[in-house]
Amino acid sequence: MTQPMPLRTVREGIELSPIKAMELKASAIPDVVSLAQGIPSFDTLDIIKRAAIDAIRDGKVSKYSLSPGLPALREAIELDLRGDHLYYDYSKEILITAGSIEAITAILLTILEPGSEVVIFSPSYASYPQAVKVAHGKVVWVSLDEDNGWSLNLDRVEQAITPQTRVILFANPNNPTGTVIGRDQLQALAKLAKRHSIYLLIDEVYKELRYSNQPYWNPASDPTVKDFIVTIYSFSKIYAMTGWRVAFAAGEASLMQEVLKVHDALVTCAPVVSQYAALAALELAKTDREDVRKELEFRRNYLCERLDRLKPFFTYQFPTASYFVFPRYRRDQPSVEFANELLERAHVAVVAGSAFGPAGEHHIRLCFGRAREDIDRAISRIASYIQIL
Amino acid sequence: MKTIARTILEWWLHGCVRIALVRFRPMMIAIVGSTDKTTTKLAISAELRSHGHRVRAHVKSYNTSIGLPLAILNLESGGSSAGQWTRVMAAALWNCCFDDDFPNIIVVELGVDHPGEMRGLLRLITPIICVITTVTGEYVTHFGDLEAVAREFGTVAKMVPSDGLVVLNNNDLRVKELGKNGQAKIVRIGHAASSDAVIQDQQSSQVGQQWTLTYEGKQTTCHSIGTGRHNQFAESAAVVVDQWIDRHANQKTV
Ligand SMILES: Cc1ncc(COP(=O)(O)O)c(C=O)c1O
Repeated sequence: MTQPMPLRTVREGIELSPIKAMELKASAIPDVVSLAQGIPSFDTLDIIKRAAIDAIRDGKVSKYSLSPGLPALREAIELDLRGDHLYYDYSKEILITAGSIEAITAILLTILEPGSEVVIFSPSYASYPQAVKVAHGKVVWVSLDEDNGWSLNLDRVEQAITPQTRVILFANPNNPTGTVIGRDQLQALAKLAKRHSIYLLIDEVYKELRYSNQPYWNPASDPTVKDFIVTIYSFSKIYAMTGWRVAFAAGEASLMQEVLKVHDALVTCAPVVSQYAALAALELAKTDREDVRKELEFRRNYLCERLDRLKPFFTYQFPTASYFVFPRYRRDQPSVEFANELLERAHVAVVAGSAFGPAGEHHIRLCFGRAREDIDRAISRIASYIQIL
Repeated sequence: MKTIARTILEWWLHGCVRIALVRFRPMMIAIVGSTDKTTTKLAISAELRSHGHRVRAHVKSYNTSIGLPLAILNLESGGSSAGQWTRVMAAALWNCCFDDDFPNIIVVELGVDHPGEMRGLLRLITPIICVITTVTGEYVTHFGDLEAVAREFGTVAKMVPSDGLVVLNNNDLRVKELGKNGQAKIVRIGHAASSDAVIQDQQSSQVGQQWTLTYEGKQTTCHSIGTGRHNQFAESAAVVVDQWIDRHANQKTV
């Protein structure tokens, strides 16, 4: 009898994101409280939903859009990016994707050859390594410096670059550390990318979730390095639209026209109803967006105050962005085990730090995008549990 | 079906716009097209401002029956909140009566989803200048085909009075044919030598792009920070509109 061919995903260890795996496991336990997956507790704003409903009623969403996305949405994005001194020609350089993870994967599929290396900071978003592997690449970790507030050491990045390196991929602000890389380091990273002729993929899905006065800056605003940078943005987070699957990538035309081919092969176009929703988000939801940010800032402060009371068991870097806290726990136990124990014994779902790369070990990630009551209950349960340890 | 609240809101805002337009008599410039309306609007308003005109152009596209009044009265959408919309209505009333900063020129976008909608918007404003950007497939749904979309856009060009100006994108095969039965002067801008205003010698610059615009025998070097042909058209339209307004103002004062 002939056997099916062995599958590449199995052979190369491509896994379902550990975050989603944790949510799945948690859903089987009654009365569980989850601070695991990065989902805001809010519903999508009414004004966005209404625009989507109008688009459906008007019969605008039943057909594919152009592969790169609705021109009106791309134009609105071009104009919005101008506010950040980022100048892109929407007709060739802006691509609407089905979530930022599709953008990241399509870009990696475009750029990487088998065996190409992608530098990823550790800890960072758990799906990056999977996307790199799907695109036949190899992950090269560069650890962030926990003792220095999870800062980036540029020398380590430089040392990690080899002739096989094609991309440096990172989130700014970062998930799970909630830290923001400042202008000087971003400038240096961009110059490094240019010097080595590699791409800097900057994932800005948490761009609006910043709680300090540190100004936002993207190195693509510098025309001398712009061609080496691709910026990725998602409507998922600040607009509470994770389920709509809509995001965009902006980069230099000759690269983006190639990414378009991969995007076309993967999804044809981003969901058209979601593109109309995204247009409404950009045009009409700025005021509401600030309310969401303020609420999340409140939740961050609340969660951190509660964590402070659990010192020295938990120590952490105070997050200035995103909706995550990433505490280190004082126990000699792998994070997967500790997270499982919290789930089974305290009925709290968190994500094991090792999901975010080797430097994430002995940490757990808590999401304060979840409702205040959930944060409250989860921390109370964790507090009771660690007392008996 | 429109909700009662929406109908009342629309009625209120339209009333406020009518008062404002009678009271302040601004020059209205309308931008029409499937795409690139906001880019063109912003380019024109920036050019006119840089030459000392008091111009209003909302940064958002606001181009529907509710959006257009907001753009004219310089207001923001009330978002998801009924309370916020009540404040918008109060502000609309205030602005149409007492806005000390009311501009001389307002640049607006006109957007339509259904045949005939343009006439509704044109009952509210009469543009003296109309710029038509593109006719593309995005909003065909209720029109049947792109020719019907083009005809709808063409109604604006036809409404422009004989002392007005219609600027057309000569790169767009449907747009360049519009406005033929109208009364106003037509200027077609494009890359073809047959255009009334010709875009040539395009090159990228340190910040964005530059090109030469040849119009009425005069050559102007144009720049835009944004790249791509749509930005070339938008900036060139801005130059043409600015020249027309200058001349128009001079003729009036002579
Ligand atoms: C850093 C980062 N990038 C990308 C994503 C994926 O976002 P999207 O919903 O746009 O695919 C996430 C989601 O948690 C994230 O944390």
